[in-house]
Amino acid sequence: MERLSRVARGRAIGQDVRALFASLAPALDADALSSGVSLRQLPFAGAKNGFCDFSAAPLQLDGNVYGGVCLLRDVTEQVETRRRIAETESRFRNMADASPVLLWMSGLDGLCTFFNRTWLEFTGRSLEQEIGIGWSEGVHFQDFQSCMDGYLAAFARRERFAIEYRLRRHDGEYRWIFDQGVPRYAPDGSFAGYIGSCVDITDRRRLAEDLQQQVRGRDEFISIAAHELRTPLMPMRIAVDLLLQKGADAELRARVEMLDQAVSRQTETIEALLDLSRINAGLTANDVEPFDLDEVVGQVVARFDRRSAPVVMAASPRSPGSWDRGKVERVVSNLVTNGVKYGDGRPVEVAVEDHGARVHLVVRDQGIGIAPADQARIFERFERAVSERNFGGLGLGLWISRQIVAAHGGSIFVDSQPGAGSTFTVELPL
Amino acid sequence: VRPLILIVEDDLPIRESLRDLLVEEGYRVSEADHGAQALERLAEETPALVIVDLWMPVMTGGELIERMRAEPRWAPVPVLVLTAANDEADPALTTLRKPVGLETLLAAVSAKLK
Repeated sequence: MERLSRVARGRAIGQDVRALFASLAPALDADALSSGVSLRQLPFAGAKNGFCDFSAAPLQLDGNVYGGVCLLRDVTEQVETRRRIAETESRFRNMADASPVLLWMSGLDGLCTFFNRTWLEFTGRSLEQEIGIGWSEGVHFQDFQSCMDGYLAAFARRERFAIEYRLRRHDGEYRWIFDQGVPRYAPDGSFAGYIGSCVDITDRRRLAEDLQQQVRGRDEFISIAAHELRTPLMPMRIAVDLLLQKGADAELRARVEMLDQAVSRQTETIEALLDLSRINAGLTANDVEPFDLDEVVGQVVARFDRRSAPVVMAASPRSPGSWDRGKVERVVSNLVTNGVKYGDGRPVEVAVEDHGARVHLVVRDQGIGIAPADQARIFERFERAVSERNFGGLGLGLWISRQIVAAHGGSIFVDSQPGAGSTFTVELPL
Repeated sequence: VRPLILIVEDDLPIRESLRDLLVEEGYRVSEADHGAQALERLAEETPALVIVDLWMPVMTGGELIERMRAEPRWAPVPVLVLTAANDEADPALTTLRKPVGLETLLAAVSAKLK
């Protein structure tokens, strides 16, 4: 009483109750007091502003009211708490309704209890229509089973889930929906149902499909182009080789050698062009599988034509690891090709070394070498350290190799002295 | 008896240059335009080696090899694939990519005939 009225107990005695609680006076007329009253959450101004429940009952003797009992209870805290909860709820509802994603909530029984405005606007249906399992009427019949199975299976295990299905939009068009559900829990930690968010992925799916088709088309084109470009070179190669083998007078020989170089150069250019188109498809480590590096390197080395320079595989330890085999073969082949090309006819040595967590592939030639100023440049696209007049090719080999090695998390570097040959080292993690 | 090599290749310049080369090397040669024709040649005389292209009309090299593997008479005949295509060939098969040099080609042929 003292707290609410700010009047000390001693001084209150003898005062009118309406004077004691002035801010309540408008609600308390004499009749109310004499006939009894019960008022809830009355605003009052006392020691602090707040709310109280007020009830009064008259005291009677022989039908005469001789006094009354008033009961005041400060309910400010309860009122405030309720207001805060209502505020939070409306804030979350506003947020949910403003969200661009479609939101839903379900209860312990798996039935949906809430859909945000975005969902309702998307389906063009009312909350009453969607609630429970009403929403599933909009799911495309071909996706209904998988959608329900996905939801119920996750629900039974209380796991997160992500499903895709077609949902009918307000205009009748079925749109692909990506729906992610997460179990939700009450403050006491007990499972309370799910909350789900959905996005329309129709456009994304279409883009992905178009892209796939384009990639397929391009791959097909490259593979046909590769076939058509290589085919006519085959009889040329055989004819030139035969002529070279048979020998001839000096003049004819000089012309055949020119042809030989032209065919070789054309072959290299075609392979480089095909590489370039494959690069655009991404030089990634896609088909990673376990194999022994030394074995694969040995196989590539064995395939080399040894006419221009001997290629020697040094004794190497067994080097198991996981890489993209085709791409690693490409790197080995590129490095050895360079070794032969710039090796001045001297032997090219290839070795695989075990360095614990990494394995090294080393290709060493004893050729013209690379000037220090050129050593960084040679790993760039269309670059070479020497003039293309003397050495053919597009200048892609080392660039491609570096991309492949990088895709494997490895590195490639060169150690070289002009005139003393070059050593290329590829470090690959196992 | 000189070993018989069957060349299955739809590209005429390639087939002719292979034929001339192999004949000169002392082999006997029979030729087919595609897989189906190759089956006829196989029926006439079982060769010691089949050099086969992959992309061919009527019947591809891949199908021909499958048919040969299914037939007990031809299953043991060695096969050398000679292709200009990028396709990853069966790693169990020896595959040479066109244009392959004379030396490599002849080395592969004699290795297969051993």
